[in-house]
Amino acid sequence: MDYAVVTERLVKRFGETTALAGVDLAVPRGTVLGLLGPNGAGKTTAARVLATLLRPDGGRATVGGYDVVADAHRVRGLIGMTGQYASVDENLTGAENLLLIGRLLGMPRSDARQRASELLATFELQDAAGRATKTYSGGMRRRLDLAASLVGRPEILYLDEPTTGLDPRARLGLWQQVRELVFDGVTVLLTTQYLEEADTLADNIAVIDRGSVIASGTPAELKARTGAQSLAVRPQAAADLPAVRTVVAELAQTEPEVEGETVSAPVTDPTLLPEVVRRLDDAGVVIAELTLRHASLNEVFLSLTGHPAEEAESAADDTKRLRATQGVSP
Amino acid sequence: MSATTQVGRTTRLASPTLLEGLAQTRTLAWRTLVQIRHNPWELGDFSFQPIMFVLLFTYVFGGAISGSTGEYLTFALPGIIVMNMLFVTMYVGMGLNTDLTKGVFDRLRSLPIARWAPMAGRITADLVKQAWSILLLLGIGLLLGFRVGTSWLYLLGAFLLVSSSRWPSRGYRCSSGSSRRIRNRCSCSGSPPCFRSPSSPMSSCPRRRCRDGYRASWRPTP
Repeated sequence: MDYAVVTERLVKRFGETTALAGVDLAVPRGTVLGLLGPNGAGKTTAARVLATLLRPDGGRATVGGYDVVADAHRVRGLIGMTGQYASVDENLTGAENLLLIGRLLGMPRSDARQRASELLATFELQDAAGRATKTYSGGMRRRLDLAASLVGRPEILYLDEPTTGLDPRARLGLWQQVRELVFDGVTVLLTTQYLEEADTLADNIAVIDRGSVIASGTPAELKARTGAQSLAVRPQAAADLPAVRTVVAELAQTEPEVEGETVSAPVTDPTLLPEVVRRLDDAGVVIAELTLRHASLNEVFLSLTGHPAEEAESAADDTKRLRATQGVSP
Repeated sequence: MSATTQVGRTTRLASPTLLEGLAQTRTLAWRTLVQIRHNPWELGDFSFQPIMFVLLFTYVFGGAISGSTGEYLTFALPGIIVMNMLFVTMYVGMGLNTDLTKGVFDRLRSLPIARWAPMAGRITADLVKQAWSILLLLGIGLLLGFRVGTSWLYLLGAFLLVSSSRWPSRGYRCSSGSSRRIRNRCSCSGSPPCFRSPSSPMSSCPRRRCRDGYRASWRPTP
């Protein structure tokens, strides 16, 4: 198969902290790989290595067939990057930001101008084109970020937590734009903390924790492994807890977790819900709360790693702190 | 959809050519300078303060130090120009710091451009800003009676010397801390040499040689 991005045992250390401990990834051309993990799992570091912003300490990575270290300039000619750490100039207007990048990519002035206005139209930013980007809302900023990374029509696009901090409407809009890009043949590497986002957009998901890929597969495969949804029942009367517990245990076929007065268990079968209601009703249990929701990343984590995501986060904080003290990345 | 239909661009070369690098430098210098259009007060930042210093030193301190304001201006103006350079450095450091912390440099570095272009662009933009404030100060000086005693070539040389001597400090200033810390650090480290030079109560200077050398280097021949 033709791969746009391949990494082999990629290692990156920041002092004592190992941000990437031998990551293997392979992204087939024209597909979306979701890199899923908690803060500091190494997602951003991986994206930065692949964008030639960081030099790996071990292993190798190729993008579009070019090595990210030896052929960095050619790699940069293929990629677009947007997200947490790649941003636009706040003091320039939206149009100027896009014009700047077009000019830097060697477009003649008129072409760069035309490309900028095309992108502003695509991302519905024409009205704000002449305003300094520091006056933009969060959603507009992200759209401009994405537009900026598309000026050079990249073959491969890195989206580093593109929707973190966006409201639901802006998030849906951004997802739609990513889908259109993929439809046009762009390969996307998407890092995200949200299972739902990876689920919606990605063809393949790699779950990353403490610098290693701990699980990978299609969204369906991962869900089957982890229990895609979480069922929670809270009876009106605490005395009904044992009865609820029995019913949930029987239907979910696992030992449910009891927290306070809520009984919860991971489930894979969405048709379970009416059955739960029927059985509880038969048992005469009055339900105060009944929810069937997507498993949170934390739950997926727990089932994949046996430890909750928070632990990994503290390691992440170390990495961030380290990066802050180092100031500039090399 | 026009924005995304044409996928793929090619970079034939393994590294950008010098000519491309220079074009990119010019574009990045434009980026810094076009901000003045949106925020004209930035230009005021390094215009008002030097003007104020020229007037202050010449008319308030000048009489007391040299006895005559005209003679003192001849001595003070070059000093104020150097002083102004030091203060401009602060804005440069803050601008670089913003680029680094906000991720603008990451975006630029992920583009297929010459590695030195972003820094060169900033330095170029800086030189333009400095040229502006030097010309402004010289203009005011000329109005008030300052005359270049040697030649304009020496003046150009002095400009290049002052500009280039600041480059090594740049990396240090931009690499760490918040922009407020940069401001503090620059003000603290910059002020003593700044104020010693133009106001020059040199009698307290410890070494006679240093004092005389210092004076002679700036005093134009009559």
